[in-house]
Amino acid sequence: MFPRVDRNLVRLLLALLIVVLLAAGHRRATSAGEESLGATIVAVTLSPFQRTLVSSARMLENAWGIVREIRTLYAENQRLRARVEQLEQRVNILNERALENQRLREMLRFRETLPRSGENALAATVIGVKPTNAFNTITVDRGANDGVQAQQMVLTPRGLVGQVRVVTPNTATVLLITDLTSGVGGRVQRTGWRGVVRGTAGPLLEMTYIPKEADVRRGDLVVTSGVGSIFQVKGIVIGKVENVRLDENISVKTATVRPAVDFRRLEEVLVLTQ
Amino acid sequence: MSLDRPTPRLRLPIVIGAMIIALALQTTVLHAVSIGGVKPDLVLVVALCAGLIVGPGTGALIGACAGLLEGYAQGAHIGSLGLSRAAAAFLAGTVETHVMPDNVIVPMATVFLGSLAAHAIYFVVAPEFPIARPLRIGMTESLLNMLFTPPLYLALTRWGLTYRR
Repeated sequence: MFPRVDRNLVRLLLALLIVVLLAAGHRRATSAGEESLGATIVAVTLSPFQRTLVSSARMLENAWGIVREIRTLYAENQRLRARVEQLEQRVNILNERALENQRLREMLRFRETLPRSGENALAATVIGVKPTNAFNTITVDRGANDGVQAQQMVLTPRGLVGQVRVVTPNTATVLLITDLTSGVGGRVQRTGWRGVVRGTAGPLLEMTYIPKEADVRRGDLVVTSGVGSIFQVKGIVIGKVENVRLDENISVKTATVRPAVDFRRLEEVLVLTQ
Repeated sequence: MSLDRPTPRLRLPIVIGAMIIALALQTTVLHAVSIGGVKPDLVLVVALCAGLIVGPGTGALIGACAGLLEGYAQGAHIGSLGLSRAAAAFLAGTVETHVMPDNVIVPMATVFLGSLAAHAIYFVVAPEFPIARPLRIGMTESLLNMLFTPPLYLALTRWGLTYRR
């Protein structure tokens, strides 16, 4: 045990002696304005490590800066996206209002063309479409309280829509002319030949019971004839003839008619309350 | 303690390399982990861990080297740093413990106390004490040194430790 302690003490003293000598040497060198050998060795040894570490640290710092920048940009991007969505929504609303305004103006102009200046034409908004596939109907936001009654005509500036079928105090269900059960007295505008326009449950109509000698061509405009108990107003556009075929068995012609109204995009209609 | 217990030794290149890397770290990037402007003294940590492993005599020599290294790098107080580090590493080496490479509690405690001792000795032997509030700085540095002990101690025992019978 003792020799070990002695050895340790010797080493401690040796260490202290080295320190003192080197410190003295350093002091003498620096006092003489020279660089001490020890300092030079340490500086030369240390500098490559320092350079590597500093450049690595800078790279890390830059990488971290990029990450932070990305996070900031991401947050800003999210904020701007939300703002864009908000503005797009506002633009959509404004566009919608502009279109609605346009449609209503058109409807107003059309109303003026109706008999007695359309004083009985009531504007209504479509609030629902057919709930089942059995009937082609729409629901409008006007009902008995507004003077709407069953069997009244419903139309738009583009043409005939249908007739009121069911009325509640505040709404009305309108049977479209495309429904299989619908029948409208029609007239070929160009030649005056009459027939009955029926729904096919599809997008097209059929004008039947046209005499075989009638002059009906593709592109002829079909309007209401005013004959019948429901569609009494004459000259409301129903659609355009797409093709005509002769039914040899009963010696009549049948014309396929494309409705003037696009029923898939119906938004406002007029109900003729008289 | 058995008399034929193998004597732990450290590979000199590993110790010197560790000290140089420690010095390079604390002169470049270690300010990033400073607390209140006080950063850890990794060279001292290496010296104290080495002293703990190899015993007081060799520890004193390693401590002296560490102090000289820091002094030369700093360009001042070479003697004070050399003496304080040599004495602190000597004291760390007197801690009677078996070297257990996986246990870092003893080295952490030794480094904490050894750092305080190094500060105290430096305070006594330095021609002019260059820092204000030495107690706060000494305590903070000792705590930081203690936190940095496990990786350095484990690295030293993993790559530098050998035994001689």
